[in-house]
Amino acid sequence: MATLNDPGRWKKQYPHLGTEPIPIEANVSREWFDLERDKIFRRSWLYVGRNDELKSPGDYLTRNIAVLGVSVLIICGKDGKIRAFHNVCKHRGNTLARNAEGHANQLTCDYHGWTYDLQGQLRFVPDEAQFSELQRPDCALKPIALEIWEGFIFINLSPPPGVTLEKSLAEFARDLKGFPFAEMTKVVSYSTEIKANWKIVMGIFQEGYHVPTLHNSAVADAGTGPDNPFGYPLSLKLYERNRSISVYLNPHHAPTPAESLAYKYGASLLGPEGGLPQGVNPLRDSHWLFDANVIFPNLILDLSSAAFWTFQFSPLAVDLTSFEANFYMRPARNAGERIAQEYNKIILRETLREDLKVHEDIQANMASGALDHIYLSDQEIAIRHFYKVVDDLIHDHAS
Amino acid sequence: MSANILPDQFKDLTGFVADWALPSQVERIRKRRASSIEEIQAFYAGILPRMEHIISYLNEFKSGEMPEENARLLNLALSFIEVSPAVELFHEPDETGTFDSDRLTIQE
Repeated sequence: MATLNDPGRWKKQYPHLGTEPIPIEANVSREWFDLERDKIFRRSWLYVGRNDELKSPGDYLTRNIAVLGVSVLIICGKDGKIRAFHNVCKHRGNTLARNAEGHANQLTCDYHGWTYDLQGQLRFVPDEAQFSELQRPDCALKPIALEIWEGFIFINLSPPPGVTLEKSLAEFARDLKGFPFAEMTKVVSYSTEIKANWKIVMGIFQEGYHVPTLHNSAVADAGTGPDNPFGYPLSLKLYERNRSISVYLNPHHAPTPAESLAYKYGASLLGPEGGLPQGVNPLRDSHWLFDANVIFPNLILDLSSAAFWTFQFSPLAVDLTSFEANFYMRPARNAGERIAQEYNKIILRETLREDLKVHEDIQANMASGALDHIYLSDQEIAIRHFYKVVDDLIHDHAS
Repeated sequence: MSANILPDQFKDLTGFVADWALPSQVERIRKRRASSIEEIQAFYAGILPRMEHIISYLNEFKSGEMPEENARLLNLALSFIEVSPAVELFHEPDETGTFDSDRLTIQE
């Protein structure tokens, strides 16, 4: 364990990031927010959901990309292909699909009845002869670039996208491929709005320093212990824009009675399993809890033996973020597995509630002028990298 | 066709059914938060020693094809799981200062 607790382990590996305090401006500045909108969110691949919700022709989702003011329709066509469009009728701009999810054989605008097929083509216009200038192909729904990786659907509002999704995922496209995503289905979703900047909320999920304090009642015993009292990561990789953190599992963790029961009859969240791709628990450490993979700009994909989960952070304003957590686990085949699954859902939910409790105070305190900088310890280097990536992109610094 | 509230071998738990045999996470967390720690502890203490038996009994049945009495029993077990952090970790119905669960939209 000598390497785990090596002082300054990460600044030695990434000396170019420095060690200075970081100004708080990034979290309270409207100028930063506008630049993030135009230079990051308008140009990046943005995660919208998994394709297991769009299995049959006519299945659709709508997603509001609030920071860009765009309503997106994602729909499975008659040919089985998933496409994205602006969710807007080309007649006079009414919203086309109003539900967050649904199924339809065609899409009919509720204003004048214009009707589109599942591939976005305009198929029916009431009283069409009364239009002088109408060319149906011109009035097809406006497409949005969409690509899918391992069942994760991303869209890109930049026409055309600067890079492919695979290029943007970079090392993750290679390292995480083969994780059993398709064997797991969504078991619960938790969503809310947090009155804080999206980067403030994202920070907590990229460091273990908070674990012994904030999670003292619950999972601190699983994430810290005598061999690792501060919750240092097993490994940490900072890429060009993405990063991956491998989280420690305390081998001395004492399960509660409920946990012992749950894990006797169903899948445990604790400890590694064989057969995971090399990029997951890359050191093959037996004291492994899960990996946090931060996919630029605003998706965190956590992978463990028994589950994976996504955290999405959608900026609504400089001090307002829409947060959504979706948990995926293997379907329960009997009552015991169902009970274990519920245990995992509950313990993850209570941990998440602890994680969410600090951000609104922090945002208000930053705006109040109480502090000008934040200080980051060595194991908080992922946050340092995060701010640098955003800063470099929006201020056009050469990387 | 049985009109049992719970399977015969778990008749002794019938007193818990009205309060705790709840079919969704949203209902179960609301019940936990609305209960006193004494009520929660009494429920937890009543179910814990029976959990192994409950699980092995229910495991005999295919998921999703349960008679009503089994579904109630499963919901008691799920409520046991829901209250377990309150008893085992927080020692109160809901952790003081944690994010308000009423602000979470929970979808299963």
